[in-house]
Amino acid sequence: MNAGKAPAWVLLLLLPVGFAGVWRLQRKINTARDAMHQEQDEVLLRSPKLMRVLTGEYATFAADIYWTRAVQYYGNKRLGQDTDLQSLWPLLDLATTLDPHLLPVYRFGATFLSEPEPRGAGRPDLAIQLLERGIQANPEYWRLNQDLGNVYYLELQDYLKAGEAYLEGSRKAGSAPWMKVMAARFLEKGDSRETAVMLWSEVYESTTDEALKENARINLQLLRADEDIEHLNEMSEQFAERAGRPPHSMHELAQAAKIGGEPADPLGYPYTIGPDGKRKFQRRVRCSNRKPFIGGRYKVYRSTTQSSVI
Amino acid sequence: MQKFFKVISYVLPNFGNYDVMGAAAHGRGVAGTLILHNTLYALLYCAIVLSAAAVIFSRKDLK
Repeated sequence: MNAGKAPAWVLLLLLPVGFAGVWRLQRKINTARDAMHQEQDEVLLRSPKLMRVLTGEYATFAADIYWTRAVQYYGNKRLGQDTDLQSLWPLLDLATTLDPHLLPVYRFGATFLSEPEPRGAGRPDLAIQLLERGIQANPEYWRLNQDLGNVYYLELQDYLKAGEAYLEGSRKAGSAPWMKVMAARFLEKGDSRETAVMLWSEVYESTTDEALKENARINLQLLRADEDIEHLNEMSEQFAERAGRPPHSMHELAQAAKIGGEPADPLGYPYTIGPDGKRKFQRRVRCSNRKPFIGGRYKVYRSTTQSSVI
Repeated sequence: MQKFFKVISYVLPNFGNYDVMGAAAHGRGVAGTLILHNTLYALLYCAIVLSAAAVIFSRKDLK
């Protein structure tokens, strides 16, 4: 038998041409399969109440299936970089109606819903609705309050609502101690100073963690300085109304307002008035900060008059 | 890395093409074009592999 040897160039020609054909076919197959998946996106039965009746005692099992389907739906959309997540809410709605105690649906579902496109559905309103439903059905589970706070904070930048959500969660049995800390931080940022002071004071008094105690102490001092500055701002405006010009110095303001001595921040450093005399108070009167900035704010220390509180 | 694995996915046989379990579970038909393209894919891939094997083995001394 005398079989001839095939030349090597045949192989060099065959492989690129062959795989180019495979590549083209694979692309066509991918298109056809994507079309099939889009058809499967449809949620035929969208009425949770009807599904509950139909599934009867197997409702929790059906909820698991809908949750699995929601995860697959979200995952496939992410993989395909498809931002159309219209069926996500109906799937989550069905899963949580069929089993209101299926906690992962609330936690992960809220993330899928709230994240902006292309990572999620960009619907923080629906995420809030889902989490509020979860909190109502599982009032003892504080993590849902944390998730709700995160949605308000991360997606809506609503610090007040975020703080309220964290605060509600912090009151539940077994909640992590930092829930209260987070609530205080958000409420402080959301201008709910009174509540923030109360929470930081609670943290300061109850914690045994030295770092947390120090953090609470600094935040209480910052809040005290904020309050001082607000009062000084009011006094400065009153002065400007009477004199027709802003005060030139804190000494002048203190004399006009008949306060004994120049006001100082909680560390004891006197407040000063900026040279521009413009209406924004922080520019005119600021805390004397010989200390480094913390989190973009001036570092101040608590006054001796308040030391009894902490 | 992602591109590397994408290239690999085209070079190696993609058996996922033949998975129509989801469609079957939902009682949906499989599109004719998908069947056609999958058949062509199988034929082409087999042709490449067999031809490459034939060329390689023809150059070996197996006696």
